[in-house]
Amino acid sequence: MLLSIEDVSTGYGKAQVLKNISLNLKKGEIVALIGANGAGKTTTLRCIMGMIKPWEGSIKFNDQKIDSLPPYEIVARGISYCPEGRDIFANLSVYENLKVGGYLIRDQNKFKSSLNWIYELFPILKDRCNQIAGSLSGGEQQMLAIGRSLMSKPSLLFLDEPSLGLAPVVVENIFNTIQQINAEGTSILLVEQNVTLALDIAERAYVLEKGEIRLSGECKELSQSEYVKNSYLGIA
Amino acid sequence: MLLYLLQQLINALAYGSILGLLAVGYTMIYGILGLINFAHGEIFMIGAFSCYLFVTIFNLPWFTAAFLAITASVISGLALERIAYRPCIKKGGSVLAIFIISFAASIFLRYLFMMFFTDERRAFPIPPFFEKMYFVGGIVVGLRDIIIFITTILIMLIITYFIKYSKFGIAMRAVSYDKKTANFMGINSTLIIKIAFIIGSMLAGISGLEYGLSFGIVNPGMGFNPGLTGFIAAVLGGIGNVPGAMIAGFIVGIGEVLFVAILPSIYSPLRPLFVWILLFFILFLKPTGLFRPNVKFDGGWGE
Amino acid sequence: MKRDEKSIKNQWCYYLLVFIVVIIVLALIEKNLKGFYLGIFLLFGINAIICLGVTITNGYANIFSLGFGGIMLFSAYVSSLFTLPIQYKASFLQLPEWLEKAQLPFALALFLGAIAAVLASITLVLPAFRLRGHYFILASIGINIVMANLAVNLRSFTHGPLGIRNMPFATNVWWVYGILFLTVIFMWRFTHSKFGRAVITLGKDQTLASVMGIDVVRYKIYAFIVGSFIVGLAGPLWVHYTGAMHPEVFGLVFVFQIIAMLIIGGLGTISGAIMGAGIITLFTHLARPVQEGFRIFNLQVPPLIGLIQVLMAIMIFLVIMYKPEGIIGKNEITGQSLQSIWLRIKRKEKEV
Repeated sequence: MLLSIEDVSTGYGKAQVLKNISLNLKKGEIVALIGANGAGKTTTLRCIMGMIKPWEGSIKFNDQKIDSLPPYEIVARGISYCPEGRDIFANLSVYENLKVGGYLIRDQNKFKSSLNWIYELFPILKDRCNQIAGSLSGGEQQMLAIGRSLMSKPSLLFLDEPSLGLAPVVVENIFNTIQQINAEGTSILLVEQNVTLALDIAERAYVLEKGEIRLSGECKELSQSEYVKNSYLGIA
Repeated sequence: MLLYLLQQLINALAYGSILGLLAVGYTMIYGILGLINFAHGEIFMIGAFSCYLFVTIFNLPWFTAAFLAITASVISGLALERIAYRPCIKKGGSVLAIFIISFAASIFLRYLFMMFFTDERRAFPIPPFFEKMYFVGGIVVGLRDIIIFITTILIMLIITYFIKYSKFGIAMRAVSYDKKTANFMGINSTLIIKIAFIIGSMLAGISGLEYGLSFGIVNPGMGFNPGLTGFIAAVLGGIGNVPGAMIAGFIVGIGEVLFVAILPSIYSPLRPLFVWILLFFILFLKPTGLFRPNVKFDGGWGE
Repeated sequence: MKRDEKSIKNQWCYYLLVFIVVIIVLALIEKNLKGFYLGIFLLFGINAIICLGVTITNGYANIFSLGFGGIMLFSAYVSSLFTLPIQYKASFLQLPEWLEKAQLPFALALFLGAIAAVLASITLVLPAFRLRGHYFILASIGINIVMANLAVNLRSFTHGPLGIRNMPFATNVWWVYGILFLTVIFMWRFTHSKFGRAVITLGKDQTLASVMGIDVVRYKIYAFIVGSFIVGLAGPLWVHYTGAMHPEVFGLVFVFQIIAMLIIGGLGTISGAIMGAGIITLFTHLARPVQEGFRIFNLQVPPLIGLIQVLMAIMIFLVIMYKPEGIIGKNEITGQSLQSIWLRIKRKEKEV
């Protein structure tokens, strides 16, 4: 098991957001975490990344407890986070953003090979490599955000709402690339409001509602479930 | 007339260097933490004053004393970050609270030194070879002005290179823009903040030494005016923008000297007003400063 | 509505009683306190007035301005022009003839000083209003420096860096506490008035206030003017107590002390302002002899000028870290809150 979360509860200040959630992810999988706004999806990712401490439960990555580590150490262990809303460094150039993504890489050659990999995945980033990131289009920014989080060649990548605010054509392009990234060996935990897309690309999924895991299972089965069809695919 | 102006310009080079270094320190710390380090002027004073102490009380050779003085500045800066700022930020202090702490820290350091050393002005020790003068076509150029100016330009080039190309430099710019996301890149933002304080304090210390060499007088209260002027320069340069701060420092320094030089001498006591007039004009025309600021939300209480 | 009538009558009786008690106490104090203690008492009152004025701008309206020092300096100098003996003005200053011959009763000079403060604040601070946050604070610091600089340079009006002396000692217990009393009542009515509540709302959240239909800019300006007026009353009071002034009298150290008072007492409440003024005024006066150097156990401790500021900075730090709302906190001390505390104590006694 690459990632395993057991009985985790957490929240902000006194407000509880997650209640005893458990989920896991095997190496090579794409797992989706779906749910409505405010269900706690981003909170889950932030908790794993060390931004918020779990009140109870444990989080293990590669069978090692990571729940008390600060974010930069968790990244060093091999998990990368591509935040909701892209959050690229608009004051830096495309290249500099990627360089920040590769902050932990010591070896100059490894850095170059990562960079080339990203440029292959997203050729447009190569074209715009010296442009200020703030001037990119929404789709390009999303590609930059994903590319940036891939620079460290993580074993596990968190994608938080990658389709948000993007045109369908762009989304299709990005999701194809996500599959490619997975095929090349990166496991992915995908948080998505667009349930159709999520169930389409992932193997397994968890449905999060008001901080609890309501359902989980193989995507093929979930997309047939009446509950999911009524509650989520209607709004997809 | 031209000769007179040129002479003034030469005199202004040292002053512009001093302000430029201070401005960079302010802007770096504001960029990284979103706070104005009011005590920066006192770090400047500690650099100058401790050099004086090391020479006069401990009889150390000037360069050793200068080196130790810069170390003292860095230690003060780190202590400030650790004791005053970090706990307050961690507790989620409001921007107002952090401002008050910054203000209080400035008063604390200044009056601490006044307490033990009184605010008497002392003569700053100047090594003999700094006092050399050259006469070039009717203008007097002091060796110390040249050394100060060249050292400062070198420092600024190094810092600019560092900020633009080095790993820590890019990390600093990333953290200034968005600390949270920077953490997700594996950047240890606490370490980066410490580095910003180290560099900023080092620059303040060097600026203090330059001031001592240039003006020859040091006292515990010396940090107030240069500090404030340096801060204004940082604001003028676009807060958070390091190269902007350097350039603005020179603009303010040279401008202030020319202001006094050009106006009839009855207006000389108005010199301190120059920088405020400049600030007023520039902020009126361009509320974010001459150059582009480097923080996500600039100028407001983190709006 | 008999109950309402009765309660209103009770309230007025209560106020009248308080008023009479206060007058008696003030009369006693005036008769019996002299010198050092009278000084502390008067300065406490003046500081309280300043703190209240600053509370309106910095506390209620959340416009964090440090410019009140400069504004007070201006009001103090203006009032002095009308109270200084004509001979002094003739010898030391160069004034236009009407000004030189002008001699007004203290009440009028005080009022003119306050008006001057309002004018100064309108001219200087208003342009700075388009600035936000840190930029605004910087501009407000600038006001202090610009005013002090002008005071040094406009020698014909201010006698330059040496300052002015021979001012009549017009400040007494009645002036200070009378004005303080009126200010407190004004502040109390203010916070319960429509205007006041609008200001407090915009202080808490400007966007919310504007959405609620409050003209944020206008109310900020009004709040600033009111605050400056009150502070402009305190300026002349101060200098007519000390009998002299100079350009640095309301400089950075003074501004720092007032901020210390507000932070320690609590920014945004009347009781906080007064409590803070009391604590710091008392502290500075008690600590002064320590600063001057003293003898303990046969050892001569040398003078440590600046100790007061150092200790105040530490106090501010501790308050911000451990009780950021100040000693009083968010809620005012009123008759009712004191009553409920008293009842709570009684209840605890019963339990024990």
